[in-house]
Amino acid sequence: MTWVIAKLTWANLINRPMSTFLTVATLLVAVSLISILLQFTAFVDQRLEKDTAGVDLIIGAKGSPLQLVLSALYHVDVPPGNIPLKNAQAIMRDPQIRRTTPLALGDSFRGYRVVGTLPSFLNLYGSEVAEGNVWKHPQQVVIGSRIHHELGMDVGQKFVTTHGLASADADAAEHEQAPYEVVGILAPTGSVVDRLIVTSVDSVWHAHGTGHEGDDHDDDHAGHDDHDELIDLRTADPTGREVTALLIEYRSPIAAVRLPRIINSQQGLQAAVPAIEITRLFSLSEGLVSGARVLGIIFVLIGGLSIFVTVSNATSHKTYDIALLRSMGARPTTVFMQQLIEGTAIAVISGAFGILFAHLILFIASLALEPLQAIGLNGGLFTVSEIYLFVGTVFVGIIAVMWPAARSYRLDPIILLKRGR
Amino acid sequence: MSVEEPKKSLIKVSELGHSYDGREVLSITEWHLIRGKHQLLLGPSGSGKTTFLSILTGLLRPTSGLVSFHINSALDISIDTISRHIASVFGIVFQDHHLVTSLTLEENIRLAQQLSNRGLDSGWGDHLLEKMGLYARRKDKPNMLSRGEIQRAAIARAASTRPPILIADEPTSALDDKNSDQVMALLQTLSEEFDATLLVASHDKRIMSYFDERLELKSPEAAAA
Repeated sequence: MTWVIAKLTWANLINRPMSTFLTVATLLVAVSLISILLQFTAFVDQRLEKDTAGVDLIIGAKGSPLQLVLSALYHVDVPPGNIPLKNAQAIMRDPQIRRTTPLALGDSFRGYRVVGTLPSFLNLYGSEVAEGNVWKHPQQVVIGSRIHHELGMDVGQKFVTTHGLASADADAAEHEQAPYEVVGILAPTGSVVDRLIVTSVDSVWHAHGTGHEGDDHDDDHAGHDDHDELIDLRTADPTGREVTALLIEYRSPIAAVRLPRIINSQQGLQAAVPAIEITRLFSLSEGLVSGARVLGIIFVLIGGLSIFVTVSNATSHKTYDIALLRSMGARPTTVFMQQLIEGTAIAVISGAFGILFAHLILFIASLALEPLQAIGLNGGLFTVSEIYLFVGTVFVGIIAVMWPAARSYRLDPIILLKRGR
Repeated sequence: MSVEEPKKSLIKVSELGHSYDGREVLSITEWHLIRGKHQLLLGPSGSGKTTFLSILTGLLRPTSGLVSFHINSALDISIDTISRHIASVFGIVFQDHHLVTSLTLEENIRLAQQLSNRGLDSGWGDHLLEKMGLYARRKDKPNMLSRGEIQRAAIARAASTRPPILIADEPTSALDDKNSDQVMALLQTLSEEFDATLLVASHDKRIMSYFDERLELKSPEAAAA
């Protein structure tokens, strides 16, 4: 009997291709919409946890705290300004701070941002060197995997950066006096690091003409190139030097109460808490997300209604087919099950392909839209909620087909003999 | 009305009556369908042919009377359970709606075999399609065929399970003399090929010569007169 049910179900679905397609498409779009919302909210939750895991506080120049977080953590905005190294050094020495990661931003190469920092910066994003090494000397860089693929840059390649973050700025000054050399390529992370050129802070200073001048190096052996060793930022001469931001990890929770207040009271400095700023950013879109979710549920119900109409119409058209089946020996339960499976099949196809379609859309969007790529929203996140969405969709399909299936169950094959009398 | 030796009866009917809303539409004192003797149920519209066929196939419970089925030495069936055996006992060619519209001819035949308890017999199915001149069109769906082709396919479908009783409901009602003869010849030769007994319900007197037996049913008005 399984063959009979499977054969009839398949035959009925392909016998009305347009009707089947429209029904599947209606439900598929609805499922996709909800799936995208589920991915988005799950991503926000996960991202919040992940991105702020090693960064409790970001310190930078006065301005918009959100701008500071976006520029320092996600590298998608222009930083509000720089802070003097002298101030940064004082903060680095604070005993309540476990780790400080300085950032020197402002230069780029063909639209890809240069980040002057410490090697520990890579740990914040879970990034590892896939080929070559981390920089050991000034003017050495590691590049993100995407830069490696898109620009074809490799270990040993030299290049010159330009001042500014815009890729299309033809008037931007080139730092020809301080060429960089690629010494490492990072493994893909799906985060913004894939699109960054990462080097030491003093490399960026050197590009801006505030490099090694006046620094006392530990190495005082004769004949050694003065510019070949990395500067220790804690002890470097702060005169005329700046950093863009400091990523701070507290030593104890008490610092969360005290430190932001102290920083914000200082002239020219601001402290931004990433968790707060990102939550605030996403709360702006909360109404939109809720509205879209309601819309998605309405779409799913419309999809269910569409299945009901399709299968009901088909049942009406197939009244005599069903009666014929009964006259050939098909039991009422066989006919009922066939109808039920037909509706369920539509729901299963719509549910499964709707979720896959949503992931595909986000993947394609992440390839085309840089901000999505930068934050790592690329359709690769599958959530438990999507399983519930799939089960719910199938349930809607089953409910929608119950009535026409029950009509088929009750159908009396005697109508075949009464026909035409 | 003819009465034959009961032991050869495939179906035996006695004192059968059926009424709708207190109005009697069918009354048969005794009737037998004898194995191998094709029979015609002849009567005008409203004479009870449909009601009688519905009762025989278990689709309708009679108001009164007895119907019993002696299909073979191992299978005696009462009117209470005949509907469960409909696929194995009867092959029915309906007046309209001959085939499942979403399936090809081949699949219709395969489906009928699957639904009966005899199982698949591809060789027999192919033979039937060849006999009906439809083998080349076995992959076509009913909407691609002419009315005559559909009717021949329905005969093949009804015969595909080799049922002991082949029923045809008004098989010639819309056909000219030539096509009518063709269909009747097909039904007759086919039923003889697999030892089925043919039972045809019709108002068409042109086909009387094809039958050994016939039961003439009258409309209630004619019966009263």
